[in-house]
Amino acid sequence: MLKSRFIFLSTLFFSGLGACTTESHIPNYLKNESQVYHEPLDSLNGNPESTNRWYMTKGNDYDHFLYQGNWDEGEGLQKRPKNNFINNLSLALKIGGFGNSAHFSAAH
Amino acid sequence: MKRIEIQPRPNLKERLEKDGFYFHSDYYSETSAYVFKLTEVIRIEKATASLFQLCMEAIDWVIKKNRFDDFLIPKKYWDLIKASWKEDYCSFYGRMDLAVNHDSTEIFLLEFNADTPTSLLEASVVQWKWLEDFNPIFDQFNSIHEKLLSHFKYCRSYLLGNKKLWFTGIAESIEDYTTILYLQDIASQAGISTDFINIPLIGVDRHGDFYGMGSKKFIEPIHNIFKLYPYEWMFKEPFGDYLSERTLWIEPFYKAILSNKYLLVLLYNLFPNHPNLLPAFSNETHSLNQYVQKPIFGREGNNVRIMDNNHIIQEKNGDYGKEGFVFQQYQELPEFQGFRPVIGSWIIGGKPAGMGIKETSQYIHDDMSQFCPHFIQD
Repeated sequence: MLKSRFIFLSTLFFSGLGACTTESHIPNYLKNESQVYHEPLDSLNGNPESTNRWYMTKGNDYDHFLYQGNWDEGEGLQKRPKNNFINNLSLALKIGGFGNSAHFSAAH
Repeated sequence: MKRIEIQPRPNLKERLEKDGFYFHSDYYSETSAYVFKLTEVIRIEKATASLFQLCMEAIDWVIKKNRFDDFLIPKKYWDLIKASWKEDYCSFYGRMDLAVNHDSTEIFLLEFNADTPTSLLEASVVQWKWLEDFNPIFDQFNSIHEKLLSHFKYCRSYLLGNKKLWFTGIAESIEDYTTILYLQDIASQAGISTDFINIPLIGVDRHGDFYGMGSKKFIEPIHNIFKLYPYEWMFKEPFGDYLSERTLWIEPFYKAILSNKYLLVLLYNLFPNHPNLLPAFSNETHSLNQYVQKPIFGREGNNVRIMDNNHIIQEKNGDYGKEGFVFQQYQELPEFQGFRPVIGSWIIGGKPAGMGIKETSQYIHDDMSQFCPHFIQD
């Protein structure tokens, strides 16, 4: 119990919430489960000038990949093997392995 | 304890949203408040501390006896839980839901939201801002913000690797996201480098290490992460296979024991004469005439049923219960003008830190229960 309190909430909190209330923090690929995206994520995030290249596919529940590094954009992601890591990239990540239960109920 | 009717502040919506509280509709109307005497608050504080100590002893017992099966925890996670307990990994917070009678002389644990509690901003900030407008002469059982800030500073030195602390959860849930952002903000104020990542976007590399893309759009390793996402879900999802001590997960793995409703059974078995515990059993009701049937993994009152001698007082449907139920003696909540409050008593860094109150005209508290501010008046 404290009769005198100073509660400070910074711009981190409010700017994050501002994005939340306009839903702009939710990437497009999460808004439409059925769609397959192979756009650079940086362009989705409004940063087309970035030299990084991020790509994502969204197929079934576990076929989610995020890529970093130099690679041939012309091939398109559909030609890449799924369910395997891509060895010739500087970093290849599987994503989508958490969060699948969230449709079930609130997480709290 | 008293319930009083109050007038909502003018421009309530704007005031609440100014404090970052956007999910107030149908949840916070500011038409009632609860009044406590200081002696009552001290009883609640002591009961919370005592119950938390029992919980610590219960974890110790589970680990020493290897009783993880009772909690339906897959064997592959047992060693992680043991290590998190042995090494005393950082825990930020938890909320005990308490049934408290009219004069706060009887206080019973209904459940412990130890892993993924929300209603944090409401308890810490919103009700305090209300009190400042209502009558700043009064006090409130509330040092949640200060204790969080202090505890984050303490935890800072225990962070692993690059010392950056990620925050994750379901970004699409405004209630969860607000709670996460609030915690992230306090961590940042404590001098911790932070970032947020939506939980489906957490990545794993070929070595099984976690990575995330933060606000600067760079992929970075995740060495420390707070998650508002329950362990019983993580344990069943594909990336559960990659959970390891190489990443510091907060809340710690041992919270999988405390957030499980079987904890109520174990606590009663270990401490049957404790004044803050209700009789609770697994699989059958034993001799209970009035009892509450709760799913072992359940949230927001779903699949809860209250029984009185084979008569259903109230039940709520949902998708939980396939893992089984626990049966806890029914404890009638005090009634004020047709509303029944449950006290959410917060634990921050192992210490009682304040309380938030939710009320409902129903018997089962659920996501439609209303948050009410409180104050202390002697």
